[in-house]
Amino acid sequence: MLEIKNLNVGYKGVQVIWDVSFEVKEGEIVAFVGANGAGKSTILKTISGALEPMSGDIIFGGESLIGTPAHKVVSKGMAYIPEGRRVFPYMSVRDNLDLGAFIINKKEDVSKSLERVFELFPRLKERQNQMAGTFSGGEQQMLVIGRALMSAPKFLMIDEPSLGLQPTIVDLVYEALEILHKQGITILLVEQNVQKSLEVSQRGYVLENGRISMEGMSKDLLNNEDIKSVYFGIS
Amino acid sequence: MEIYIINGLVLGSIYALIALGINLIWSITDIPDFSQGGIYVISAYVVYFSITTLNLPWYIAIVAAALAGAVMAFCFEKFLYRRWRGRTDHIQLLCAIALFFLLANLAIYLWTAKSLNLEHYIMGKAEIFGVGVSYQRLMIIVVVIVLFILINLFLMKTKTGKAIRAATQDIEVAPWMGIDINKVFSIIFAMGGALSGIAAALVAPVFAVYPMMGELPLLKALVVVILGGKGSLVGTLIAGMGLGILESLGAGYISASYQHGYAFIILLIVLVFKPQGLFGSRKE
Repeated sequence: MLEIKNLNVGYKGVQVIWDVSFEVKEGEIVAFVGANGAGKSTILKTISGALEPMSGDIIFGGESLIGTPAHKVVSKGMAYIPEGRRVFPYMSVRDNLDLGAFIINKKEDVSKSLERVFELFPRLKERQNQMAGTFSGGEQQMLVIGRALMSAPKFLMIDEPSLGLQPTIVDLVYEALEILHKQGITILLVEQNVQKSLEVSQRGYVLENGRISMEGMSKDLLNNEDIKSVYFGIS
Repeated sequence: MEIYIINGLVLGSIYALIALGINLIWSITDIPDFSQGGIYVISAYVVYFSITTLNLPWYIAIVAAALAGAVMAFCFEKFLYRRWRGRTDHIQLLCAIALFFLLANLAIYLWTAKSLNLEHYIMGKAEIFGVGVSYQRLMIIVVVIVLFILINLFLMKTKTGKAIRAATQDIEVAPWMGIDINKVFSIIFAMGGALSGIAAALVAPVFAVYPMMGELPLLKALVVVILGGKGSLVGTLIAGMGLGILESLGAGYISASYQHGYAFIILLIVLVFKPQGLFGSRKE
């Protein structure tokens, strides 16, 4: 579904991603793990069209996304949930969700998506008219996931969904991701929470200083001694 | 007393209308768009010549001014400001100031510095609180309030309006919803320019049309945006009307020589005690 070939990315001449290649097959959950600053978010931003790579190719559904502006990427069936629970703070929950369906023109399709989101997160339904900026962190995370689902994507990229959330909410968010996966959405997940993301995913990549240092089946990575010592502090 | 208040409302409506466009632009671009002052001047001449040379009815002249304003602002954004979007060295602001003086000087070059007068669009007077107020002045207040309501409805209720607000609140995230930021900028600038054009068309018969007519309304509108709070339509309307009334009362009861100073005294006081403006959101 998504194939990244020899991606090099930099900000203002400083290269941060070095020759990264990987793929996400249809129906998979793939996790990208690594320390803060390893370049995980940069990769997602580049795929989403917000950053232009220095070189390399991004192939999604058989066509290259290089040169496709961010606002055209969503209509190809890709939704991106950036780090930091970026709701539109001065708009209602309902308006936030409607904006997620900005590219959808048919009213029935919008209400179908809305039903699906409310089923996944009933809390959003109860609080439709509340201002999104007044939500708690967990509720905002539900809202941005819901907002991304409103465009009925086949492929979802999510950046640090557990960052700064209490453990019960993290579980809830991950349960939601598993439900979406069962519904047929392919997911690319970026996390500092190595344990959680490798548990939920099938395959994983470890990113270090902008380079992929390890890749494999998530369950193998979870048991890998290097990963245990670096990320879990066990040896 | 009543006459000062009504005159203040007329003046304040114009400040508020120019400020509305400037506020919309400022909220999303972070540019206080000085060029709106120049757009206001050129639009006033568009009205003058539409009526005197082309013999068009006044309401068509207002539409022509709105269109002229929209086209100018649209082009300035598309061909100039856009090049420097995201830069933090204030080059867009300098460009906007340059455009303001350029347009005012263009007016001197094309039509000389002398002031031109237009007849009122609607003749006659109404009696309000025992004061005779020309229909022309009343029309200004009514049109401005109606425009504020329409723009508020547009921003709150329509899909495009919501996309504009979303882009204003988080310009980085909005594109991932499928919102084309360039389109949002074009719409906002065209709206701002149209509002300046309409403001000019409304005052042309009340005050004179001359090349430097944009200077004071522009500065007052900038003050109104800051007083009312960036991003707040209600704030802009109240601050505009309030400033107009204060100036008018100040000129009447204290001294007319200070009329143009009151705005800046109030600005300084508000900036010291409530820098986000009277109705500004916490974000600013």
